[in-house]
Parts: sequence; C-alpha cells; structure tokens
Amino acid sequence: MTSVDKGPRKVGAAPKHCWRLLRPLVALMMLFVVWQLMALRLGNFLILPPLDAVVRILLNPFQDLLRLGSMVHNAQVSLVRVLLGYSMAALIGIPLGILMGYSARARVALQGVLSMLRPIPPLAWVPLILAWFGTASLATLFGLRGGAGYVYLSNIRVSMVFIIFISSFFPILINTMFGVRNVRRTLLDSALTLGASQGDLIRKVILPAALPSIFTGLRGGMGAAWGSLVAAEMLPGSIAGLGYLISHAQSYSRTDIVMAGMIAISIIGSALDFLFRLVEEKRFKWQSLAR
Amino acid sequence: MQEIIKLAGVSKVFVSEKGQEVLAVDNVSIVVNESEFVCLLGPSGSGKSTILRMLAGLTPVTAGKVEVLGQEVRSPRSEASMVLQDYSLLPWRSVVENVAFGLELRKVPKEERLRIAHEMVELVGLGEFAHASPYELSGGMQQRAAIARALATNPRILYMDEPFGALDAFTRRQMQQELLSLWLKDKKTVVFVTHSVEEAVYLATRIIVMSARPGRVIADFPVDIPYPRRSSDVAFGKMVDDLMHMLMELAYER
Repeated sequence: MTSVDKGPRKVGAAPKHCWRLLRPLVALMMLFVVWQLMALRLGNFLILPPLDAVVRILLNPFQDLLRLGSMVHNAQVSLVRVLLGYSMAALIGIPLGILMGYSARARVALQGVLSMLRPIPPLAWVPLILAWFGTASLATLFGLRGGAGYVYLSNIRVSMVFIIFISSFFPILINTMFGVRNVRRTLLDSALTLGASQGDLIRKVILPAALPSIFTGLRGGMGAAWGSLVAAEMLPGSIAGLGYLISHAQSYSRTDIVMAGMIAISIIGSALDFLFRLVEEKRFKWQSLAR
Repeated sequence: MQEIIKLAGVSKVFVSEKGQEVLAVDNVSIVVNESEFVCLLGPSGSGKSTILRMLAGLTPVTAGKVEVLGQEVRSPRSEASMVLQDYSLLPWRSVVENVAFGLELRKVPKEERLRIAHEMVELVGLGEFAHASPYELSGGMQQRAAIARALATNPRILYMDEPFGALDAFTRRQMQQELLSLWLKDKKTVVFVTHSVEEAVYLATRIIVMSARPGRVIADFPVDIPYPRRSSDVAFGKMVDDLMHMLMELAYER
C-alpha cells in the first residue's frame, strides 16, 4: 500500500526534490564566485590563486606535484597511515571501553590515568614522541632494510601513527564506555530472567545495545584521526602524504597546491564520514525510533 | 495443592549512596501454592516490586530465605519467567526473534525455537507482526510480545511487575482479559504486582496487601468471585471498596 502512495507523489515532487538537493550548495557556489573574483582582482598567486588553477590540479589527480608524486599517491600514503593508527585505537579502545563500561572496578582503577591523559591535545605529544621514536619507521621496527615491504613501511613513521592513534583513541573509548553503561537496566534484567549467563549478557544484549554508541565513537575517532593527519605528516622524516604535500608546497610558494591539498583532505574526510553515516542509517534505525 | 514459592522472614535493606540504610521489605513470609494467581497490591514504596525481584533471583535478600520448588533462589531460575512494565524487548530484534530469545539462551536449535516462537506469537494475537520491529508496535502489542516471550520457555511460574501499568484504560482491560484466558487454560502460577485495586480484584485468586515504608504484609485473603468477573457485580464492587478503604486508612496512619 505504501508503493501506491509513493508513486504519484514522487513524480510530482521531482523538481522540488532536485532543489532540496541543490540548496546546501548555494552558499558554496557563492564562496567560489567570491574567491574567483577576489583572486582575479588581487592578481597575487601567492596569497590567493584563482579557483580554476586549484580546480585544474584537482582534475588531474595523477599528475606529479613538486616531484612528490601525484595527489592520489599522496592520499594513499595518508590513508594507510590514518587507517593504521585508527585501527590500533579501535582495537584497544573498544575492548577497554567495554571493560570500563561493564565493570565498575575497572572503571575506578583506570579513571585516574585516563582523565589525566585525555585533556592533552595530540599536538602536545609531538616533542615527547620525537624524543621516544625519532624518525623510526615501521621498517626500522620490523628490522627491514630492503625489499618490497621496505618502501611502504619506511614511509610510515612510528611517531605519525602514534599521533593519529592518540587523537582517535579517546573518542572511541569514551563512546564505547558510555554505550555500555547506558544499556537499559530492564533489558539486562529481563535477559537474566530468561536464563542469560554473563557471557550471553555481553554478547547478546550489551554489545548490540551499545553498538550505535560504539559506532558514534568510531565515526568521531575517524574525524579526529583524519584531522590530526596534517600535524602528523609535518613531523620530521616525512616524505609523502597530503599533509606533507601542503606544507612542502607552501615552502615552494605554491599556494594553489596548498589549497588543492586542503580540498582533497576535505573531500576524503567527508567521504569517510559519509560512509559511517550510511551504515548508521541502515543498521541502527531502531535506535532513533525506539523509546 | 503443592507449595511452589516460599518466602520465610524475608527482609531487604537498601543502602543509599550516602550510606543511609532504608528498610524496603520487613520480615515478609508468604507461601504460594501451584496454580494460584496472586496479586501483590500496595502503594508505591511498599516493596512489592522488590519482593518480585527477590523471587526472580535478580536481587539478593538481606535476611530470610526465598525458596522456589524447595530450592533456595540465588539467581534466576529456569522454571520462572518475568514480564516487566516497560516490555524490555530488544529493539534490534524482530518480534519473533524476541520471543525466541529465552529458547536461544537455552540452546534450543534455531528451527525448533522459531517454530515455538511463531506459535506463541500467534497465541497472543501478533501473527501479522511476527517480523515487525518492537518500535513499530503499540504499547499493548509490545507487552503481548513480552508475554509471549515469557511463555515461550514454558515456565511453571510467571512473575509480572505492573505489566499493564503504562497502558491506557481500554487496552489495559483488554490485556487483563487476554491474560486471564491464557491463565485459565493451563493455570501456571502467577505472582502479579500492581497498585490498582480494580486490577487485583479482576485477576487474582488471592490478594496480598502491602503497606509502605517499610513493606509489610497487612492482609492476605482469597478472592472467591467466579470468572469472568464483572466490575458491576456486587461482590466485586464490595471487595474493591473494602480494599480501597484499607489502603486509605493505611495512608492516614502514616
């Protein structure tokens, strides 16, 4: 019966629908116009390169930039770094969050350490991280000196992965803990009376109930990880990545590449966020609709 | 009649966060026989829900002893199921998956448990909604699903904690009728907590009246009105009046 309802409405509402999709882009278009006009008027490539110069770089993503490789290559390097630090944060943050949400004893024991570490901004870790790891890369860590793996691993410095790890760790941990602690008491009670063991309770009630919150943490953590990328890639020893590309381009006075790199970071960041939102809407519909 | 539930000198003290001790249940002794429909009736704060939780093995007693089928209750037992006021269905599971949950926890094979769950869903009149999500159902329908879930494990005892408290008057009466007709079929032992005098008189074979703070048993008597009961019956009206009077007096004494 719903299909009968929807059919005619959809056809009639098509132009309106298009307009709704375009509306968020209006301000963006205006920004682009202002940008282009200002750039042409200023005529100073260093301060504000024209829009079309920046767009041209973005439209040729495989073209080599400043002998640092293409935009795509640098994005790949960055993505691998982010995913590495991020997965480590998830691998430690989720189980720890579940433990701290479930056991009051674990929560009390770990609270002190975590509330001391949490307010420290990721960037404040940099000097310490450099003192600890210097420019050691994963290749150094695994004792590799050559071969196919070396090329990849030598590009991933321990210090960068650590910065990314530390920035995504807390959103993941806190949201997981929050999700586990906020499982409705009566859901647990009714599962217990139905014969659930402690293991059943965790696997069949607590985890699925906390999943939307864990996912929120993963989404926030991804945002934070991607956000700290530039900082991480400005550390010594970096020779590739979007963050490195834009800081390197700046020293060559190539503001067009700087801006193209910034836009690339923005596009990839929103795409990742969009993926998370897609899963949230598909999988966790019950959460917004349940009381 | 066989004795199935026994509370002997049961007390419960809660300790608040500030370290204050509150006596919620004071020296309560009750024996319930098989196939009784017992209503625990009392104002809020009379410890009736606490008693139910102790019976179900969800809350430990401070003093005294709780026995079900001759064995001391320390954790939830497989002979009993519970229905709570807020339905407590798992929102990420469909109705039939919720109903099958108890059987799943008991390691009943998937095909078997889904077959039983479907039967139960039919029994409570939710056949059409077997694959719907709980959030797509009204409160009354959700409570039907929760009852089906409690019955699916074929328990000998059913604990119900104000199960119809959140429903509107009409749905409430409808649910009471349905519960009674289910109960009349196989007469499982029911312990039903309510603060509605009318509900207690409509359903119970026996009413236990509790006082508040601390929770004590102040009356315990059978209801000898034949089913189906009608609130317009003289005997029904008199019992409701008497109970109401008793509860009012209690309130004034405090």
